[in-house]
Amino acid sequence: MSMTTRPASARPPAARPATAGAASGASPTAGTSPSPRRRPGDTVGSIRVSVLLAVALALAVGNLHGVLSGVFWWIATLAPIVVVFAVATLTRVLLRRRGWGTLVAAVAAAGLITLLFAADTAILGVIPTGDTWGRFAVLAAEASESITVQAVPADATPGILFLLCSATAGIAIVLDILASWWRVPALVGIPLLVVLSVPSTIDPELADPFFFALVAITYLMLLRPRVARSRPPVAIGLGAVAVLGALVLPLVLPPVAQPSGDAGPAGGLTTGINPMLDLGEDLRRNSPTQALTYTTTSPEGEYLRLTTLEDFVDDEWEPVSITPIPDNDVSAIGTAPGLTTAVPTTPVSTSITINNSSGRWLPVPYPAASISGLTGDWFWEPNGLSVRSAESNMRGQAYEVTSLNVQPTSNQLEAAPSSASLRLAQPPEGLDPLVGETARTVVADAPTDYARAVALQDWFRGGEFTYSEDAPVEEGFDGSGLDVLVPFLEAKTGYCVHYASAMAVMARTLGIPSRVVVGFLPGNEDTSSDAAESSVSEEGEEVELTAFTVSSRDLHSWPELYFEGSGWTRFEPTPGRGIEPAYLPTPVDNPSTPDVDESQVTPTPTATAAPPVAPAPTPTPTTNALGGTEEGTRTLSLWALVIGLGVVLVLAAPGLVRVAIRAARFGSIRAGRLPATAAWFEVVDTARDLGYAGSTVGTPRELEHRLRDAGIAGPTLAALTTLRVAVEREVYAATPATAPGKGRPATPPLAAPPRLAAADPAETAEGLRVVLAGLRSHAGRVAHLRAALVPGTVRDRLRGGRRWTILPQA
Amino acid sequence: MNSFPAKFERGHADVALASALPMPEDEFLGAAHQILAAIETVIDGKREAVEIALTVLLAEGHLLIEDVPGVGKTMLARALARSVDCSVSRIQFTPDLLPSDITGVSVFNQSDREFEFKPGPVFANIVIGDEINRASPKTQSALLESMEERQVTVDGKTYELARPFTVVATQNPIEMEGTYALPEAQRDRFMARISMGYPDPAAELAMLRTRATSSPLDAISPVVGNAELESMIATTRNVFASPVIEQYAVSISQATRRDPDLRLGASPRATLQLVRAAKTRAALDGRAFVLPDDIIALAIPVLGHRLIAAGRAGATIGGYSGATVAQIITRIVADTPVPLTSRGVL
Repeated sequence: MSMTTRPASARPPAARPATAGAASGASPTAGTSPSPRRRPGDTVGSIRVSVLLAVALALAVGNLHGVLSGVFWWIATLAPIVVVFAVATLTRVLLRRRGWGTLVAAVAAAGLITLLFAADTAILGVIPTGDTWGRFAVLAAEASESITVQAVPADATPGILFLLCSATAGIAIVLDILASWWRVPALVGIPLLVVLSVPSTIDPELADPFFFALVAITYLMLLRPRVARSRPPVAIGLGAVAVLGALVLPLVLPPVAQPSGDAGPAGGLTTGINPMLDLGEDLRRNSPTQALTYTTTSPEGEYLRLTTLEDFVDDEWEPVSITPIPDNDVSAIGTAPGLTTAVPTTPVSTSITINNSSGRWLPVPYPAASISGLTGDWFWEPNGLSVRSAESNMRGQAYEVTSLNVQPTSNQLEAAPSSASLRLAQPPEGLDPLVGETARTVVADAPTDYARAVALQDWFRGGEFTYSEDAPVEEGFDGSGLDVLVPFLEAKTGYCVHYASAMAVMARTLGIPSRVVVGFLPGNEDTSSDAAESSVSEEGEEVELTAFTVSSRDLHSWPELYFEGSGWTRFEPTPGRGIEPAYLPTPVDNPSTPDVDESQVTPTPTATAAPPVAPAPTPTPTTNALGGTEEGTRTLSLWALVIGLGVVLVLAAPGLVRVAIRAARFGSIRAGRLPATAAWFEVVDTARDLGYAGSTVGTPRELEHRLRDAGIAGPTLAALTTLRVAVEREVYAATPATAPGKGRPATPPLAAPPRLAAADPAETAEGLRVVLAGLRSHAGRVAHLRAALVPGTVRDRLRGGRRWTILPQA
Repeated sequence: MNSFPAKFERGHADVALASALPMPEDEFLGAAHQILAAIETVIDGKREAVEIALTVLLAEGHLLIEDVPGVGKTMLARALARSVDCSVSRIQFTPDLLPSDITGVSVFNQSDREFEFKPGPVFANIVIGDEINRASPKTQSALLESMEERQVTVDGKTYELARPFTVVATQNPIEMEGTYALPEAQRDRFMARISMGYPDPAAELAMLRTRATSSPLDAISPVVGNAELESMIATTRNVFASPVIEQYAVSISQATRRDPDLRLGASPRATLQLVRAAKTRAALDGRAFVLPDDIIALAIPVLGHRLIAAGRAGATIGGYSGATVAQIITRIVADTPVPLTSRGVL
C-alpha cells in the first residue's frame, strides 16, 4: 500500500530541471524565470556589476606598483573609482535611467578631481573655473616632466597623481558606459587590459602577473552569468585561458618605450629635475648598471658634473636654472668663473657615450670649453657650466668634450683673497647656529680660507665620520635639505649628499663661497676593452687615451668652493669615496705635481695611489628583484614561488572551501547535531557539484528519484534511500527542538510527534561515504575533477544563494 | 440508496465522531488497501484518481470529478460509495431540479396534524451529485450550505447532516451543452478536483470483456463499515504536520496570491485543505508525518480548481482553464523553496 507514485500532473519531471537551468544562469535574485518582476534583481545586479568593476579597476591600477613607489597613489586613485561607481549606481537605482548614471558620475568625477587638485581655484571647491584649467595644465606639464626624468619606481608627484586620478576616473567612466549603460560587460576587458599593460610598456618585468590574475578573476566573475548560461566547460576553458594569459602576457608584451642604442639591462639610472633629491634613492636602489663609458686623455679620469646647486629653495638645494636661448649652445661654452690664466691648466679631451642613463642634465667635465656630437638642443649656464636640454635626453648620446684640467697650486689657493662678500658666501637663512659653531670649532685657528676648507674636509674624512647609504634613512635624516644637517653632524654618518651639503654650508658660515655639484665619479678604468690604452692620433700627436666605465653607483655629490684666481675648486669630504683633488693635501708649497701620489700623505683611510678611484664601500645587498646578482636571482625565484603559490591558492580556494564544508558536516554528523540533515546536505551539494542536479534541489525524494534516473543503483542507492528516510524523519517528523516558551502555549499537535529513533551518527557517516563514493565513481573522472576544483555549490554560497529555506526560529 | 440514517438530529454526529478512535497503522493500511482494491475492480488503470478520491474521503473533503461524459466519473463515485458500508444517496442534477429535491421538504402530516420534515438525499454519508453543473445556480447553491456547514436549514429549522459526510460530484466541462458553471465559492468547497482521463487501450479492452456480462458494481461488496471509516478518518487526523510543512503550504498559497499570472489565488480554506489532504496522503503512505512531497503531489488537485488565471488564460473562466492553471501551479511549486534545513547545519 503506497502512494509514492506521484500524479504526473502534479509535478512533471521536466519542470524542475528546466527551471533550475534558468536559475543557474540568472543573477541571484533576478528570479528563475523571465517574469515581469525583475526590478529588485536589476538593482542588485547593477550594484554587483559596479562593485566588480570597481574592484577590477582598483586591481588593474594596483598593477602600477612596480612603476610608482609607495601606496599613497593607489589609495588616491580609489577616490575617483569609488565616486564614479557609487554615484553611477545610486543614480541608476534612483532614476532608473542607465545613461543618466554615467553622466552624473562623470560630473561627480570632474568635481572630485577639481576638489582634490585645484580646490582653491574652483567655486565651492568643486566647480571648475578658468584658473582650474590653468592649474590642470600646470599639473599635466609637471607630470609629463616627472615621467620623463624619474626612474622607476617613480615618486608620485602631485602632477603624476593628478594624471593618474584623472585617467582612472576616465577609465572608470568608460567601464561604466560599457558594462552598465551599453550592457556589453565583455568589452570592459579591453580598457582593463590597457591599464594592466602600462607597466609592461615601460619594462616587461614591471608587470605583476598576480594582479593580472586577480583582474582576470574579477573579470570572469563579471561575465559569469553569461558564461554559466552557456556551458560549464566554456566557463572553465575561459577561466583557464584568462589565468594563463595573465601569466604569459606580461612576459611577451613588447616594451614600447625602450630607447634605441641601449646596451645593458632595462631600467638603469635616471636623474631627475633635481638629481640631488633622489641621489640617495639611486644609490640604494639600483643594482650597479653601467651608466656611461668614456675615454679621456686625462690618465686618472674625470669627474663628470651633471648639475650645479647654488641656492636654497624651501630649505633644499636648488639646481641652477638654464634659459634655453639659442645663442648659448654648447659648441662654445664660456670660461669658468674666477679662473685666471695664472693657474696652470691642461686641455683634456673626453669622448663620452651614455649607455643606460637618462635625464636632461648632461654629464660633462669641468670646466668644459665645447661639446660636439650631441643630438638635440643643449644649453649651458654661465656659473656652473652645467649643460641641460629642455626636450632631449642624455640617453644614447655620444659626444666629445674639450675641457681643462685646472691645477692650482696650494700657494695660489692659500693666497686667494677672501670672497666673503659674494652672494654664495652667505649662509642660508634659518640655518641652525650649531652648524656654524661646529665649523668654527673644526677649523679652529686655520689661517686662510683654503686652510679652513682643507680642515673641514679632513675633519669629514678623518675617520670620525663613516659612510652609509642606509643609516640616514633608518635614523630619519635622509635628504639634502638644511634640516638634516644637524642630525647628520650628530650621527656622523651619511652618504655623499650629506657630506657635500654639510661642507658647503659650513664653508659659507666661514665666509667661503660654496656650492654643491651632482655628477659621476670618474669610474673604473676599463683595461679589458680594446678602446683602453689605445693610441689615437690627434693633430699629429700621439695621445694616450684611457677608457673608463661609470656605473650607477658612481653617482656622487661634492662641494665646490670658490677661491679668487682659481675659481670653483672641487673638494671631497665624503670618506671612502672619490679622489681628493691633487692640490689639496699639501700645506707646504709643492707646485706642479698634481700627481695622485700626493694622496699618500692625506689622512684618508683609502690612501692607496694606484687605483684612480677609491674602492666604493661594499654595496648593500640589492633588494631589486630584477638585478642579476645572486641575491637578486634568489629573490626572483622567491617571488616566482610566492606568486605561483598565490595563484595556486587562489585557484584551489573553491575546492578547499568545499573540502572544509564537507569536513564540518562530517563533524556535525559525528557530534550528533542533526546528523541526517548534515549528511543529506552533503549529498545534495555533491550531487550538484557532480552535475546530477541543477541549482534548485527539491525534496529529498525528488533528489533520490533524480539520482536513480541518472543511473545510481545498487548499494549506493540503498544507502541513499536510508539517508533519505533518515533526513525525512529528522526534518519533518519532529517539532523544533526548542519549544516555544513565550506567548500563548503552542497548541499541541493532535497526536504526539511520532517517536522515531534519531539517526545513528556512525551509520549515517558510513552511509554518506558510500553515497559520495558511488556518486563520484558514477559521474566519471572529469566531473569528479571539476567538482573538486570548481565546485558550483561554493560559487552559490558566494552569491548568497540558498537552495532551501531556513526553518523559522522557534 | 434510500436508507436514510435515523440520526440527523443536531449534535448527534459530533458525539459519534469524537468517539471514533484512531486505529493501528497496519489495520489502517489494510482497510485502505481493501477499499482501493475494491474500487479498482471497477475502475481500471486510474490509480492516481482513485487514490485521490480515497484521500478526499478520508480527509472528510468533497471531491469534484470533472471530465467528458463516459469516462467513468459516476462509476468511480459509485464504486467509492459501494466499497464503504455507509448510507449513500445519489442525485442526478438536471436543469429543473429544485433545491428542495436536495435538502428535503416539510410536509403536513394529516394524522399528527403538523409539519414533518422529509429529509432529502443530502442526508447520507456519501452523496453522489451527478452532472452537478447541469442544475441551475439556485439548486447548486443548495449544496453550498450542506457541504461546508454540514447542516441543512429548511423552513427555519436546522438539521445536522450525517458524519462522515462527503459529496462526490461529477461534472462535464463547461464547453458541453446545457451546463452552468460552478461559481468560485462553490468550487472552493471541494477539497480536490480530479479528472479521469481516457483509459489506455489495454484497460479499455479489459473493460469491454468484463462489462459484457454484468455490471461490475454488483460485484463490489462493502469492505469497511461506517465505524471503521470514522476510525480511519481519526487516524489521518493524527498524522503530524511539522511547522516546517505548514510554513511550506502557506508559502505556496501566498505565492499563488502574489503571482501575476493568477487573477484569484488560493483561499485560506485551500491552505487548510491542502495540509489536511497531505496528512491523509501521508497516512495512506504509511507515514505518521507529512513530507513536502505530499504537499507537492496534492498541489494541483487541491488548488487547481480554485485558482483563476489572469489575462488570456483567464478567458476560460469557470475552472476549465485547467491546463494553464496546472502549469502555473507547477511553476509556483518549483519556485517555492522546499524547507530542508534547520539551524546549525552548514
